[in-house]
Amino acid sequence: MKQIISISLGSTSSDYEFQTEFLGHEFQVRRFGTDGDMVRAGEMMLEWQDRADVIGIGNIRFPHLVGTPQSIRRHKERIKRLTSRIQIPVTTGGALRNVTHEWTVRDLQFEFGDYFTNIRALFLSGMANYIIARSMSEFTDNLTFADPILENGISKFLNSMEDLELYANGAHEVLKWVPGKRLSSSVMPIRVWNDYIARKAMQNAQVIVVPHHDFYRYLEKSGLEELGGKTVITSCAYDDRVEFLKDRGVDMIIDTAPKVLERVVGFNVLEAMILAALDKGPEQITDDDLLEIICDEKMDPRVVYPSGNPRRVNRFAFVIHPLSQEFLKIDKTLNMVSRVTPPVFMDVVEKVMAYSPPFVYSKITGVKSPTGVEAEGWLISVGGTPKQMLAHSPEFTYIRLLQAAKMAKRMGAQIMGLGAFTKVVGDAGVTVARKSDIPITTGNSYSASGALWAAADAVRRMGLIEIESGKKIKAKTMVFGATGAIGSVCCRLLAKAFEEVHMVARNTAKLLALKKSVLEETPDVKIFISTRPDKKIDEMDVIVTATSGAGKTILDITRVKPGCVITDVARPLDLSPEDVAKRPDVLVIESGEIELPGNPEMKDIGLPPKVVYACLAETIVLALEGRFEVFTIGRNIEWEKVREIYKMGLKHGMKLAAISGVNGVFTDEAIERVKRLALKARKEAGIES
Amino acid sequence: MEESVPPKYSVGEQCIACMLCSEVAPGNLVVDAETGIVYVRRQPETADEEGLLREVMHLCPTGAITEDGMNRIRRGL
Repeated sequence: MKQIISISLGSTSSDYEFQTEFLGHEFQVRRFGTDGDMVRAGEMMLEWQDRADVIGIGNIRFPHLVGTPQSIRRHKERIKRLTSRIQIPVTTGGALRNVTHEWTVRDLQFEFGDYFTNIRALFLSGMANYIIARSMSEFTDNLTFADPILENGISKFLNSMEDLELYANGAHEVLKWVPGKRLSSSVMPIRVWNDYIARKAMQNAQVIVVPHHDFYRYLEKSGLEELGGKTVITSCAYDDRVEFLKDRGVDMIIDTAPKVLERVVGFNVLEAMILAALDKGPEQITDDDLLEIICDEKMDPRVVYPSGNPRRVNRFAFVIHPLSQEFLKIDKTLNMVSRVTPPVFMDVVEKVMAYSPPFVYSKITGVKSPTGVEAEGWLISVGGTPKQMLAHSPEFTYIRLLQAAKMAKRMGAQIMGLGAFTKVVGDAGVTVARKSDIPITTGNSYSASGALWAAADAVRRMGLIEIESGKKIKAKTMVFGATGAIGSVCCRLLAKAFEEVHMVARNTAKLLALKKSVLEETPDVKIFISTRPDKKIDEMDVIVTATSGAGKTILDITRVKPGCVITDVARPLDLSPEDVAKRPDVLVIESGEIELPGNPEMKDIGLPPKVVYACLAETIVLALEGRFEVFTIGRNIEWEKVREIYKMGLKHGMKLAAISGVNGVFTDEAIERVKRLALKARKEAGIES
Repeated sequence: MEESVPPKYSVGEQCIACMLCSEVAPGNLVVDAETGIVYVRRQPETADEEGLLREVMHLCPTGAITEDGMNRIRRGL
């Protein structure tokens, strides 16, 4: 039986002894702590060298792989001095540690589907975890290093690998930083200030990387506020450390040290066992030896969920904008001032706001799919109203959307959606998707799906049209803005369910092409095309309006058939509240709203709690599904994507929200009232029901 | 020209909301109580305010406050 002795600079209270089998050999493993006493560690190695095959040195500060040659050499010499009198192989586990640190990041990035993409990570010691930082920097720019604060007492973080390398080489200007009179003369000592900002940085991070050595010292002042809901990356997470992190609400622990034995042991023990099994010295072991053992023994990083429930939170961003001057008045001061100033004042404010850079309007939390995956995100607002966006060139809006994408990436979002008019401007997201660093989607696929979902539900609840199972519905439907992105998909969907579809748009050639394309897909539907919105409007049972007229009157509601279901997909809406009020016998629904799963929380977006526009829901569905890709852009929506996002939505618990009109949610009584008035109006007009 | 002149000072997303800046230059930098996000409420208009903003740039622990940027500023609102 081979004897492995681990002399640790850690606590004596964690000593252990056990027998095990590894790589076809039997081992007796014993650990002795020295409570940080280097002299005692040296003495113990001398004491044990006659009885051990390999000695491991544990809980040491590993030589940094970054820094001045002198500092790296000094560190190595210190360990050499400690082991110089020992005649048997001695290892710190450094070789295995270096391989597994990089392997951990790459494995989980693959295994958890883009887990580290744009993630905000705080390294309590970037120098000690340089390999993890370097690997992670391939997937995110959002790295923060607390080295100056925790090692040198300098109240400054580092924000890039370049800064960390300069700092390690003693060349970063932050090393010359002095706090200035204000901080140094403050009643709060610099040390207390540094503790405070370190805690704030932990609260701001999504992942915290904690060195193995001095684990408790690094985290001694952290509580639930700093660690709750976070992912912690560390090495050799012994049971006491897992318990410590569990008490502080950590969601996930990524342990870079694989657990291949009955208990968690340090890299020094694992590497000592490998050396003993291969009968090699630490200098003789090759990368290929390690690769072979890592593969054969399945030495993957260990993932621990302290609460017992795996938790996965994906991140998204979504761009919104004020729909009109009324939305700008949400600001109390502006609202008050607007009441005592001429209307021209608000015109000026609207123009000025269009130039303002994007800002975070609200954070969205609490979205949880029945699959267990969660999503959180940010609503980023650009300042322009639709009127202002139309008044400028598309590039004006592109610049602001790209700034929003940059912000989203910095905050950790893995995908960004374009809301309302931002996806109508210019080429409907194509340029933004090409130039942005994160995937973009317009949400149009789910908007189309949600619109028809709502229309179908409304028709069923109105009960004025006979629906026979398995047969096409005998009713006439019309789509305004038929050749647009959402409109054309609505035509295709209606064609599959209804006998007759009338397509209305301005461009004749596009109408002809659309008709041909729809008939190819659905030959048994009757298609009519027109450029005149008023033609046959009074015969329609269902109307979908999907124009981008920015509030211009498109549809004359006074002419529609009593009992007609109008689905207003356009944003801003084609029909004003005043228009809708003219026809109490018509059901006008603002389609596309989706109820999110879980307990979502966010600032008011003008919809009932938990309910969002379908385009935002598409971004959330893609985040929940982990599909961080450009999904819907441009003016043509693919039918397959409409179907795919609908199915994905159902999988993640998305529901059609209660059908809403301009005055809020339609109750069953309200729908019954519309039906009653419609039947009465039809009778008076001599229309057969 | 479509573009306006970019605002002089701005707060980047690396901000950890330590509140130091809003303590030093309360007239120019404020924290949104609801979101916890710091933003530039007003660009400096006097030499004194300019001095305070420069001091804030020096003190900011994350280097989030920058000059001549276009990040997260809400002018007037």
